[in-house]
Amino acid sequence: MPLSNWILIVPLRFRSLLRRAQVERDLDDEFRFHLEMKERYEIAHGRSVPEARLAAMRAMDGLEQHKEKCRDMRRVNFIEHLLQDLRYTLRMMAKSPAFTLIALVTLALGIGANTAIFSTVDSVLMRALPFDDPERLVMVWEDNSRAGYPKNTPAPGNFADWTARNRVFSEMEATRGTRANLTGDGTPEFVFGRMVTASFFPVLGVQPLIGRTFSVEEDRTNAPVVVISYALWHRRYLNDKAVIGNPIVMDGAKVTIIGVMPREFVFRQRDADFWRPIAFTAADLTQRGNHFLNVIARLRPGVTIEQARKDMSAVAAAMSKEYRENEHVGATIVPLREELVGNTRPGLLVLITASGSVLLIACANLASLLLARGMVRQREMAVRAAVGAGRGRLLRQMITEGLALATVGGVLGIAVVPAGIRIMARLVPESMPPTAEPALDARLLGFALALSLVTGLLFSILPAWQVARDSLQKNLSQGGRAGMSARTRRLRDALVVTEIALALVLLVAAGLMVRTMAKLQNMELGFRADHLLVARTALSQDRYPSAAARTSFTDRVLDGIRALPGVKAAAYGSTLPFQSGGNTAGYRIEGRTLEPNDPGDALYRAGSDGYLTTLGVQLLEGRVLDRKDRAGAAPVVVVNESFARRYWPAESALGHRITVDQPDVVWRTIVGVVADVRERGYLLDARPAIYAPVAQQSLWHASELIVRAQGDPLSLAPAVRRIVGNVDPEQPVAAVRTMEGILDLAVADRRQQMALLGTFAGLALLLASLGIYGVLSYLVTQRSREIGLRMALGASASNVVRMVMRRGMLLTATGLAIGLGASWALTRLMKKLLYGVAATDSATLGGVSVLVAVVALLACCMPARRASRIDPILVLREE
Amino acid sequence: MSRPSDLLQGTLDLLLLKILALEPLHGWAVSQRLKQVSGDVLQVSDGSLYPALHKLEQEGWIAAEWKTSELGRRARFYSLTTVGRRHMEKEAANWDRLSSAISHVVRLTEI
Repeated sequence: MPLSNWILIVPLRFRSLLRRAQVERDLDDEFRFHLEMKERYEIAHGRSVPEARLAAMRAMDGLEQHKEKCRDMRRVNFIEHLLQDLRYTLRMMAKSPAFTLIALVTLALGIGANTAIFSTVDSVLMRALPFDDPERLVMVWEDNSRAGYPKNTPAPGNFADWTARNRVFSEMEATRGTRANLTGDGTPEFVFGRMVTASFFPVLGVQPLIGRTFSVEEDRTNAPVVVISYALWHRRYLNDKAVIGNPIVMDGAKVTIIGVMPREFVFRQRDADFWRPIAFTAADLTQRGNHFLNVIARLRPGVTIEQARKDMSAVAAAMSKEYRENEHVGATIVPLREELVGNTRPGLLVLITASGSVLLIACANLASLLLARGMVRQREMAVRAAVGAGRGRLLRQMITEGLALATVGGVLGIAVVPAGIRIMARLVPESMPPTAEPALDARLLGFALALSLVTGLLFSILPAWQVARDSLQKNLSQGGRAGMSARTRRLRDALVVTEIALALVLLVAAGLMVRTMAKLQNMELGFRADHLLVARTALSQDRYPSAAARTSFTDRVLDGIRALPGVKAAAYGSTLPFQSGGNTAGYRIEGRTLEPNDPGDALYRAGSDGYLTTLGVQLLEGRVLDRKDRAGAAPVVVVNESFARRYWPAESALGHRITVDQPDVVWRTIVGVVADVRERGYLLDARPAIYAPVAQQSLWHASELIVRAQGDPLSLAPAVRRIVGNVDPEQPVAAVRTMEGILDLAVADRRQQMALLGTFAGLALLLASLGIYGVLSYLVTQRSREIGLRMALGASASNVVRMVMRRGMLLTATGLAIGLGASWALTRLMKKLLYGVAATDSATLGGVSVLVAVVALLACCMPARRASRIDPILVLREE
Repeated sequence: MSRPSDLLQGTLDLLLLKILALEPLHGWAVSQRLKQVSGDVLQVSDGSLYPALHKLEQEGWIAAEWKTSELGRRARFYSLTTVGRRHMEKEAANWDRLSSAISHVVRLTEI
């Protein structure tokens, strides 16, 4: 419309809006004038006065409708109608408080839960990571699938070659884990940290909070500088800015703090408290035997991941020909987000689908309820239709009600969201930065509002359409009991069947998770995790430079602990079960060359005497390590069953000798064979493993202390600290926990998912059964006359009950059939979450079907009983 | 909001605009004038007249004013606006084209 029109029209419409009363009076006057003129006309043409008046009136038949049309033409009606509808909605909600309350609670919970889950999905899967251009960051791993390590930490020599030879990365940086004891300025503290190449921070694009990060020069010369984390700065130095430039003592050496990282900075692990230069030497950069780095790289502009993969494969292939150690080693690239998110994606997606389904079921219930109420309000609707409300108007009325209900429900639901976020917090992977933590912000509120509106539309559009249709077709003269049209009844049935099907799918999913948890927790671990206290005493190189010094420390600590009452056993180990998926070492067997496809790599654990006994590992042959196995004594090892069986399937492994790759080749005699232990966690298989006495080797230190307690293991913690303090007051005791705690942590997220899924499934079942109840209840009420008639004609109460039950069970059976089909198709999508249970496990499907059938049966009971109690006389008399 | 067929509505709009182009009138007078000028052929029902007039007013093609009528009491008089005149001329041209085309076809079949 041209601008000139607008200038005229806008004030007009404005006037209409503001001076509504005036406009009404004007319309009235206009029509009144017209009537008068018409009267005069009729009189002038010979009719009598009363006849004329009547004629005029008749000609203006439908005065209200005409007025309504005029109002429509003015198009101001939309807002007026909206306000009218809202007022009406509030009155209706107040008139039926029970319905309103149930609807609001259902909506609040549904919308709140979905918003909370969305917030987690959003921050973990969708939001940008707090690094520069994060989508172009990747991590590069060695691919040694042949040895069973498809994602292996690279060796420095390989890192150096990759950096030199690749053509797809603009930068490549490496880091490695490290730890240190902080002493000198306060209580000794054991901290984790990382050693990084100079451009590590720049490649991520993060700036320190105060101070600076390393220069290339400092990395090259291994300058005594350190960057510390915000957490460390806060707890040890109390946010004192003066620490910059100040020396602190780490592992006995003086280092200067040059910078502090911001609080939100987290890269792959939460507990890194400091960063030091990795300071590769020339020798380091040719070393390919030990694998321990993390490599992060940035793609060159314009390079895709596919191109990068191709290039690195070519580089690795060339290297595999040049270096013996790299013979079967390739390179694999993982985008950073995938690396951080890990395998939480399937779990989160399952959860949001589940919560969405519950909301859908709630909508179906509300729609069904509204359809039923629509019948009651048919009269009202018919009257409205008669005075000129078109279909659109009727629809708008009912949809406004639905939207209003949903919006209020949504607002209430927001109250639920913070609690929901806390519950979901455990499902945010540890490796995600804290900025990824879901919080109630504008974005989330927007989502909640949008969800409320969509929900409102969803559950009100169907009833609105149907009721409008029905009302417009009926005339008012039908009076009283306008029954439900067949179509409406079918709609309600369809809704109930859908609800049951959805509920079944959710229950199957939950059931599968429950069985998975059961399988995991009943798994044979190979050791006894109960009553085990775990702690860490990492000895620093400067205070314990020799193996003898370290052995003396551990001996004295163990002696002291073993003397405590309530202690059944104690020992030290290098890596406890469930602490790592790797930590291996190469080995050779005396008098035998390994097969070409045998990687010669086994899990390697160094322990003090009594390590395996304290863990509760079963001894199969020979003996375990004891005190006699020291430096100077005959070198011995213990191997596990997998190892023994692989090389000596027909005979005993005892007495044979192996050597473990070390600076010096030492042939060690196998003196014992133990049962396999699930060292690598619940999900990874057991592997051949070698257990060596820590005093007889130098590959690993044994810093993990385990104590088997008579009673509660944590009650021994203070005593343990005391004993360590007696032996060395400067030695920090870190990470005091129980073995069961470690195991729990391994399944904590799964357990969370199971709990949530179970809750949703339970809710779904409840709502679905309410749906069945509602439909049958209505049926009984509507057909009470027919039932009364039947009973009067001789039908017994049990006949009537059977009729109602049959109806209900037919609906249930249909829902079950559809649900089972859907489960069959859909649960394979959650395969990644399951363990030891097939996605189409028939026991679960069967069990859940029985559960749903029983619950449905119960839901049918009450309406059935009510039907059987119908007094035919009362009902028939009601006409 | 129900609408009569678009063709009919458009034609009615044109007729009303044309009548009002001659002089400002109130609703009753418009319907009477139309009846008169068309020799009783074109009669607008009261139910269609006022919605059409209000729509024309909403679109800005006619303007309304309360003036004293021949009865002595006030009535709402409508008059054509400048944009209304432009629109009317355009619609009149369209109508000419349409009606001569229809007449042409209708006469053809008589052979």
